[in-house]
Amino acid sequence: MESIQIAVKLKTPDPQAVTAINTIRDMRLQLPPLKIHRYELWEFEVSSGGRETVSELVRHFTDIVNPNKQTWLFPEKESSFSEEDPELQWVGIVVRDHLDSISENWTDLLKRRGFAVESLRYGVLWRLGYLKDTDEALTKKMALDLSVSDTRAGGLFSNPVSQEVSFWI
Amino acid sequence: MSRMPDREELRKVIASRGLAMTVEEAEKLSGYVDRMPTPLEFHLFDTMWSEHCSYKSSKPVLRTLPTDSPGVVIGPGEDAGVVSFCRHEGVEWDLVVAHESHNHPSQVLPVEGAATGVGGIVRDVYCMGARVTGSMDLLRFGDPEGSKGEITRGIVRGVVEGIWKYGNALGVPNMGGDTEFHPGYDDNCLVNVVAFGVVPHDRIVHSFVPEEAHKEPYVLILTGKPTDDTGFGGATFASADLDGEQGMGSVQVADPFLKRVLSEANQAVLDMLFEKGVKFGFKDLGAGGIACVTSELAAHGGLGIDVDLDAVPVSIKNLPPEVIACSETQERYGLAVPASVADDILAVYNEKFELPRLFPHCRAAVIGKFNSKPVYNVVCRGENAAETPINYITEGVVYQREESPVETKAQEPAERPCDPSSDLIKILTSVSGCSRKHIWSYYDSEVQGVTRLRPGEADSCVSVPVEGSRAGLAVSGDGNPWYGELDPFLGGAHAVGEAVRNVVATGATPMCATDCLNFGNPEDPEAFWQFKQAVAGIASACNALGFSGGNYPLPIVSGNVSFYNQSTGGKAIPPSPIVAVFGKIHDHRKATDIILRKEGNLVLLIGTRKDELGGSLFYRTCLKHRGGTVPVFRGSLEKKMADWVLGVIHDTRAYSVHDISGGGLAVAGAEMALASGKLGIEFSLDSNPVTLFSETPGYLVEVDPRFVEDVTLPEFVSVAGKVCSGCKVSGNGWSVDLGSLRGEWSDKLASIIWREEGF
Amino acid sequence: MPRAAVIRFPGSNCEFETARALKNSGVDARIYNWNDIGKLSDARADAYVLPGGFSFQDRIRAGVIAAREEIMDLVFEEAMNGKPVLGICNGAQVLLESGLVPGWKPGSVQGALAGNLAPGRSGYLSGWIHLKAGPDAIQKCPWLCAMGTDSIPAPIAHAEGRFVFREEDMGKVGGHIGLTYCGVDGSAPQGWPENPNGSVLDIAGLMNSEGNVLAMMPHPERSLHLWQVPPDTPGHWGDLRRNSSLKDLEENPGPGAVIFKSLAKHLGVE
Repeated sequence: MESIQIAVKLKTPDPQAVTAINTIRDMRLQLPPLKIHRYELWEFEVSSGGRETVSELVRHFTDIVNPNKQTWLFPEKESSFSEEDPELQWVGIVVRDHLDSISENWTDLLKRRGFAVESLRYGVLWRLGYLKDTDEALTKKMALDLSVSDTRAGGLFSNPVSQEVSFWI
Repeated sequence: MSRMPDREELRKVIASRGLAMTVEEAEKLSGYVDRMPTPLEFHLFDTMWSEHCSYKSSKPVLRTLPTDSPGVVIGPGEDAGVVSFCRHEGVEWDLVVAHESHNHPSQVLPVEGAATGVGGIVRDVYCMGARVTGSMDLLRFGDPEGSKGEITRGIVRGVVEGIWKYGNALGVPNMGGDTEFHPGYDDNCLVNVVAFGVVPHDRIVHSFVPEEAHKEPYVLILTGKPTDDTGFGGATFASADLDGEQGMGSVQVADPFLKRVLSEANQAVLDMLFEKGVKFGFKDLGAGGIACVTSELAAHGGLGIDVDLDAVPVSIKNLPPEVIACSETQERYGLAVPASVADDILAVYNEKFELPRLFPHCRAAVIGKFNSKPVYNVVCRGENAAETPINYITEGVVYQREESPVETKAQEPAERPCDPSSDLIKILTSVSGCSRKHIWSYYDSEVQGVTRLRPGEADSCVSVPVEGSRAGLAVSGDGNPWYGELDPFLGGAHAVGEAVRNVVATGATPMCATDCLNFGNPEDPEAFWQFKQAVAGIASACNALGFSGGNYPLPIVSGNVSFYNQSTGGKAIPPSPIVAVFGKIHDHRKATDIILRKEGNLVLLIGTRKDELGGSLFYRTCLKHRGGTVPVFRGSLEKKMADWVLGVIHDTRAYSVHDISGGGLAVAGAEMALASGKLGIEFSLDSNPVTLFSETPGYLVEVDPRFVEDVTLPEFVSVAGKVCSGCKVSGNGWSVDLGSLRGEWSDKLASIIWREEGF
Repeated sequence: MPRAAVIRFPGSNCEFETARALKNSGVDARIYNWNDIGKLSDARADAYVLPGGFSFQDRIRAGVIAAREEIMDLVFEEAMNGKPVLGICNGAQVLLESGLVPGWKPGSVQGALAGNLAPGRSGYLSGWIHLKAGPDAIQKCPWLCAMGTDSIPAPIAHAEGRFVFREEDMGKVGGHIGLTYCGVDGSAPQGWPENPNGSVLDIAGLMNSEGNVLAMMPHPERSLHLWQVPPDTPGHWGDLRRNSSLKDLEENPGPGAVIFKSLAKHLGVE
């Protein structure tokens, strides 16, 4: 069993990322992220064929990636996101629902169609670009604070009850 | 300015800019401006002379459609058609209707294509000053179980997602529509969209600068999403063959959120202008963007205009002038207003509704001044980007296309074995014959609180769009590709006929119709012949089905032509005339649905069955045969049947009504039972394929047993059976328990398309 | 006449019919834009309604951006003062993201309206379901005080309507149940689609501890009149709908009217 992620991004500016950066601007943080990119993050548990299996299913289902509007990649390290501004320090935050029917239904569908996929998990990867010289631990802490909405004025990217948050490494 | 270019130079410009215009057209343009046209002029005329904007191939044919009737306020020509609807508390209310296609974009980017389709059509209705009270989607997809099934299934899922994600957010109730599958759409789906709304008669807004602009200074305000490059080339894209890479990336990105805020802001601006008693023009931006809206607002009002592209709010810096001017960025409107009220208008958009805060770089701005010099003048960064005699822009071009009849070689099957029970089950569990409920379940059909009958409850959706008034509005859209393929004339005629029946079956009297004509390449004589045949069919049916008294037809008040629906292989889609009919029921409380009411009631058959099963669900599903004999269109009989059914409904003697179309009488009866859940029909008719499955137009009407004692039935009406207990349908020697079939009937599409079961 | 404020966020789309529903019950209603803060503050309405729609297009997640709008400070304050506050559909999502319901610690987000869970489908679902009031709701909630104990049919239309709580809070949830999904006869739902979104404890409407704030997913403003009820509705309401005279069809209330009648009753409208 191999765990393989793909990150999918709109070719045009993502309205959700635009809304996020605007909302954060209104929060008047001392050190806000200067740029935000949003990716859909699909994580597949593949029983055989590795990346070839994932590439194959991406070719089959335009619901997951439509090449006319989206680009996708196998993210591995920071350099995978080459279009991001190298002048900033980037932190990745993954938000997933504890339970979601997108993951469940796609798992069923792919199994039914004979792909070597045991399960998949859908999520959103928020990439936050902070000032380069900020302390790395501090950057991560700020990103995490911004990730969970414990109160309506607090974090933004996830609901603390129905969703889970992790750093993307 | 430069000298006149030669043909070679023009050819190079056309190729390098990806224009769709011919060299001859480019020469004509050069003659107009008397020099090498500017890039902006090339793109502007390329759009204006595209099939989409100029109707250059279709115009002479479209003139044959009937458009005149006493209720028509505005016929084809503006953004939407208008007919008078009802009078309530001293106010005359009009109905505004529009109908368009968004086929090619939806094939490439199903979600965004379908979404912008809804967005575009809704804007057409808004910009007549109306509140939009409903929309409808008429969808044609390839065979989801066929050789290209996987692509088709993805497209169906995407189109439905685009419609719900965009349409639901707009707050416009979705009034259903129809969905057909045919392998002829494997490479080219059809997404036809209809929108409608109501407006007080004295508040109709026109899409041209008013006469007052000859006397006082008028300016042009652009409002909405900041201009970008995403939609650049969209209009020409809609009129070119689909082939792999070409055209990709040029589909617009829809923003229902901004659209919703804008439509409320527009309403506030319009209210203010009416209150001030100011005359104005209003138009949405579609194909050709700023260039089209500015030139058309001016030209149709007999004026010229100076446009300053530097004043246009943009989201991308340093765009070339032709991109700013011709980009098809969504969610934008143009207003022609007196300069004296411009600041008040800007304040509504930019302050009250806070456009700049809600969307980066979004705001309303004055970008042009109207003047009496008949010139279209555009300036960008201090340079002239266009300087064109304005009347040429809207003059258009017209071509006489050649036509050549298509041989269909269609034949009837040699044998017609029929086992009513198993054949009926086969039909009801086929993708063509099963319920569309899964699709509607994604649509919000009740927002606004005006919905009377939802998709699936009756033959057409009914709403009560004018608050406080009892006037009900019924809408239905239809078009059978299997008929169109066998006989495009009958395809057109039956599209009108079926939509009329669906409206009549709810008790509504048809007022007007719209059409969307989806065909192949008009330069192909066979495709053009199909187009002409279908238009003739529509015209003939409309002439037979006028309900305004006298010899008035059912008027076509708006519509759209979509050519080049074919793959690179050059195979055109089946001729696909799609017609929407709008009907009015004076008292919505009398509206009828298809739900059986009472055991022991009689079921009347309106329309004698004939042996004409060509293209029928029975042939296709049970015999795997196309057949040859499409039902004859019997105009005067259709009219008589409709009048009779309307009479029964208005006398409140019809308990339920369903039209007979796809699948014939047996399927119509089964659908009534399935919708009821607890009741069924026992037919007392012969059990042969013609009686049970012929798609000869007609109706089933549930009445009290006493009805036949009180009323003398006309010769086209007979008793077909009676309502029985239990969700079932039966006849002489056969019976189908629909209760146990119900799950599969309603879940079939979800199973095949959404869950991909069985592949 | 008591006055209710309907608050429109950018992207709301049910504000007009919601205002109509209030007026219909004898409560004056006015629509306030998200930035009409001064006007709303001056008005000191007797009740507040956050209507359905897609505030900020559900970006990031439904309700979260609207919950941060300044106008919500005022709604929050009024809710704390005990004024009746109702969130319908997207309005309910805003209330959850504002920490007004369940409101064990007001201002803390302690519940969620997560994406619908349904077999083989995801995303939006519209249709009619059946509802009944929770055990304490009729006594406690100004939006439910005119409700009977029988089930009523109601339209739903949402993609994120699944109430979720932390495991450790589950013991406290019972007292907050305003409305639950149920079968036609009022029995517990037999899975989907009677419970249309997988909501825990079949919750369709959730109150704060005091009961003055209600977050509900169904749309009562779309079922004000008998003629709005689908003709294939099972049970008592379906029979009424199918067998009524033309006069009754027009004049008789629909099942959703009771929500607004409750408010009117609470505010002392005869």
